Amino acid sequence: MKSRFTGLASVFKFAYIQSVKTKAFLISMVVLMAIAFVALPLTTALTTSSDEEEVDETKSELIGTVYIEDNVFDGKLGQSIKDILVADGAYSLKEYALVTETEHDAVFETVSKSEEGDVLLVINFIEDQEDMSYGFDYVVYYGENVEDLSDAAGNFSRYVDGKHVEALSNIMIESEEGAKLMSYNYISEVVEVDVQGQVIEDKTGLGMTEYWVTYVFIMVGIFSISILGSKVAEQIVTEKSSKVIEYIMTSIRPMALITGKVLASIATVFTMLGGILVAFVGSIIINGSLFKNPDGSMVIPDVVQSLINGEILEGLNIANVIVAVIIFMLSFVLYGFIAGIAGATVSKVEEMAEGVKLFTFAMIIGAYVTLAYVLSATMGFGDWGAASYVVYFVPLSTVFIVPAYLLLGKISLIIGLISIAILVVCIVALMIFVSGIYEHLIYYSGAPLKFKDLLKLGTKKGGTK
Amino acid sequence: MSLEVKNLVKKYGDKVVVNNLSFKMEKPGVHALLGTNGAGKTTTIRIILGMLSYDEGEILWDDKPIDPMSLNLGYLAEERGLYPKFTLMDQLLYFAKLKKVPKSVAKERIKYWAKRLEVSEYLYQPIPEKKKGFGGKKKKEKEKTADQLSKGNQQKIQLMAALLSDPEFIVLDEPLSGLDPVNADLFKGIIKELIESNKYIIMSSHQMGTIEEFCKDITILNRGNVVLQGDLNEIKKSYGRVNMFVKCEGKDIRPYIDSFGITIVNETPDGYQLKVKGEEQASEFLKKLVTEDVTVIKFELREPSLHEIFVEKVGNKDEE
Repeated sequence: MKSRFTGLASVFKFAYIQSVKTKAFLISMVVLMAIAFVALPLTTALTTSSDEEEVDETKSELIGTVYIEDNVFDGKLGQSIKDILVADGAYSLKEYALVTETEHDAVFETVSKSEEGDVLLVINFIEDQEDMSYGFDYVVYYGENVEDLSDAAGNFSRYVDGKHVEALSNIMIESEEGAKLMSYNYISEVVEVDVQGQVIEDKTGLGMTEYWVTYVFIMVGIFSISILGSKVAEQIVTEKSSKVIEYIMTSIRPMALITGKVLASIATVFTMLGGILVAFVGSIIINGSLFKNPDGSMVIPDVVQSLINGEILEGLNIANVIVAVIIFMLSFVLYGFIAGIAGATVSKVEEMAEGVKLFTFAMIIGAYVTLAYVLSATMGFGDWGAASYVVYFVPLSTVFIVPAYLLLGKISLIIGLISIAILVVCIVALMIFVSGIYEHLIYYSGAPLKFKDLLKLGTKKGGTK
Repeated sequence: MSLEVKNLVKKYGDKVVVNNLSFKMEKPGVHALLGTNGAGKTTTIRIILGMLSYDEGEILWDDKPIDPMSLNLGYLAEERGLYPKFTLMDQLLYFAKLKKVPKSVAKERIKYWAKRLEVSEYLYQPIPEKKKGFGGKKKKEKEKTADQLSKGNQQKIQLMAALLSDPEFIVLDEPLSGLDPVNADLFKGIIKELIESNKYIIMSSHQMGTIEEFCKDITILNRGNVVLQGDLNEIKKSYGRVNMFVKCEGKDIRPYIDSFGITIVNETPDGYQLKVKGEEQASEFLKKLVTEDVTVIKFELREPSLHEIFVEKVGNKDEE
């Protein structure tokens, strides 16, 4: 006896190929890839400014004494950085002090209690090659007593980032070892400390960059799920209205049909996203060719730079990435099945808008609750306490928030794993519900069914016409 | 092999749409499912095909519960059912794949049936000489999609889809509806070949003439109930030769008809269609006409047609 999913592969292959062959898909791909391709160069052209201009907005006046602790080159690198900062730019008139490792604690205490905006720049080298932070590590510490010092410290940190290569080259003789040192990665961080010298970790609040990263995740999620839903629903409705479903049902079971279509639509969406990603990578390359800093390095907009540096993506590790991808996939499957049910509640293509209301409603709830949550965090209202877990764990909103927060380091891997478990349970429950009613829905021909009709079908044995 | 439907019942709520239906096909051939609109024919077909569940009864293939998903069956639905915007070849290959037909075999069969059904031009686009693309290469014309075909041609494509897997069990739901006489003959030829190939076929149709051509056994349904069933020839014989057609010249034969108490079924300028009690009465009537010097142009005594039987059975039940 054939299983419920026999024929799924055939349905998947056919639905996927027919989706990506259509003119509409190809045109959409080309347009989106073109947008992704020009996005970075355009952004760079519009937002990149000279060092002086950038520094003008950096609130450098809030910064007091700059302490530099170089634990890598016995102070030589620290001296080199100081020389560069003093020579030119908004930080040229600051007070500087070079600090040794033994003086660290005393200086750290000074900075934590400072009301003058003193900051401490500590330069280390992470030698563990397995560590994601392997390479140079620049950390800027600042105290909590001066308002808006976080922005000033962040801008100072980014300014120093841009001078790292120059500072290094000033102390290196031309040698193979020197060249190797120049190639090492570096990570920079900005850390606030309280008056007791304790690091303040505000995991609930969002900086602007973090907000934009999360916003992009939400928008990509809405975009992808909208396309996914419309594709699944359209395919089901087309098969019903063209009556081809009658023939297909002699060869496969309803569950194989809907599952194949959901997976094919997910593959189509991922194909599109993959194309956009490729275009974006091309955009980075083009951007690098068109725009260069005076030192020859590539000009990259601050937001992208901070992403590449890993400043923002504090949770970027293999486990979190895997969990984030799994959450995306499972959420797409869930929404795909909802769209499949929605599509089957109508009998004509003209009624599709009516039919997918259920799906659209579900997606809007998930996306907008997430947006409200993220905005609340950005505007400094903090998290929602226990209600935060509702946002993380309710399957409709999981895809919009959990992957982003995982990668931003705002939530732990455990929350990601719990989200996966809940998604799996919901998908299984939905599939059981669908398997009970889909036979009726597939052959149903009449006025669009409402949600309550679906519930009635699900609780009733034997179909009604 | 055999197909047996035993005491099949299907209900929608309190409404019984198929009531205790039973029939058996012990040998290859055609079994006709007849009935008025809403009689339960399509529901029965869908149940046999596994598309709908049923409430009571059994459906056995080769004395085992039928599993339509495992059985090599072909189905030509009553309504046209093709993807409107996908190319015909893509669809046919997809349908073949669903039936586990290897691609190379599917292509061969598509070629064969396309030629047989005279639809090759829609599946295999010629490369016109005039159209040349860049570099002087010949450009292929765009492949046809289903929405570019007439209903009749769509039906042919659907028949192809039904036969691609060389099924052992075929269901044809109104196979000739909407076809012009030429294509109807084409379809009939194919159905005859299928019968000769020892296929088990269930056919549903409103065209009684077609049914009489192919079907040995019939089941007539009305509102879900079986009103008549069995071997068509036997059924006709059971009615006897009671349908008479007479065409005469010179004299009005009406008085003679009335005197014999014969029922006039239909009176046309061409003659009288009459219903007699039996062959003896018919024979006496003819003798009378001859004796009275009536010029008899045409005289025919036959069994009732399936159409007449159908109307009588279903019409009577409706009146009841």
